[in-house]
Amino acid sequence: MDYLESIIEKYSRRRNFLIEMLMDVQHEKGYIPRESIFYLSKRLSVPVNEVMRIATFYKTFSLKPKAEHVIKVCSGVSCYIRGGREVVEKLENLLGIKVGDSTPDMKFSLELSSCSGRCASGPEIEIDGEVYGNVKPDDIEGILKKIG
Amino acid sequence: MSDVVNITIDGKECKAEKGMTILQVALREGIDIPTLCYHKDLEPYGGCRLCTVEIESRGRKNYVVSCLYPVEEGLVVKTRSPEVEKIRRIIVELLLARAPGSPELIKLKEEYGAKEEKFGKEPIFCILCGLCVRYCSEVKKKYAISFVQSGVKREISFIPEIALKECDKCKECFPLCPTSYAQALYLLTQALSGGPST
Ligand code: SF4
Ligand code: FES
Repeated sequence: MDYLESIIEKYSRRRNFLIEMLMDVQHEKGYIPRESIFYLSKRLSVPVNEVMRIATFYKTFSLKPKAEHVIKVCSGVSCYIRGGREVVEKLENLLGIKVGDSTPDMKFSLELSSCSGRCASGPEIEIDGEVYGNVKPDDIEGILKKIG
Repeated sequence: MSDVVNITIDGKECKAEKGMTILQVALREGIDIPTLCYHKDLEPYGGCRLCTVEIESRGRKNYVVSCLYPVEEGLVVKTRSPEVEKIRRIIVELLLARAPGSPELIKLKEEYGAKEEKFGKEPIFCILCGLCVRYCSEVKKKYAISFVQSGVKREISFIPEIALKECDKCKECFPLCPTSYAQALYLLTQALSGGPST
């Protein structure tokens, strides 16, 4: 819990910086480990259910570890009506998981992302920072094979 | 003496102390206002909006949530009016879509002539009144139940690490729940414990 102690110290143990602390945890670990919620609660004297409420409220925080490759599908309206929904369905079927989850082998996580402004090339997906535009459901198997 | 204010509820003149809510005064006077998320031992919450009443203050008509609204000198309150009834009816209809079969809601449905089929059913059984979460935190100080997620996904969740230790000997939130969901979710939490934690 050393990393938590230094995060807590960074904000002088002040509980009104709880959100900042959680952001640091997310950044450092890639997710919010369950124990860190209990630890922060204890050290800051904030009720556990309060920390839990905040940690699940914001999309920035994830209580589950992310897999090796993170697939983000744009959930903006343009991508959605250009076929984004079918793309999500196809991904869910191929990976056997729902949005927000990771495959049991921790190879892929599936997420929705907000509009990135490249609506003309939707539906768009982003994997490990690389952007794929005009994606059709039938392209997806190929893209996934290429990655892992 | 400025701590006492005079208000009128349904034509009845009442004295109240500053800081009281309309609902508190009405309860004291034996005037019935329906509530779902109010509990005398808990902080006012204003979650269900069922306690909406009509007020007239400085010549203006308004609809306010009586469990939160503090009394003020000269306030005129109507706990029933066609508009108030309509607001309550719609609230009951919306809640029934979430929690069909809740005995408390069925009673209200009959009282306000609400139609159960008005909104598409989406039974999730919790109406997010927060009584369980707030009772556990404010009265019992155990913090075993939490609100999680946001927006349409908002729900309550037992924290197994605490609930499995504390809830069996308490269970005081079960009878507070207007829908039995708190109890059902607790049993589910128990059944799932030992399984993969999420
Ligand atoms: S479980 Fe019951 S008491 Fe708890 S928030 Fe939902 S409806 Fe209210
Ligand atoms: S009782 Fe006032 S909002 Fe629920």
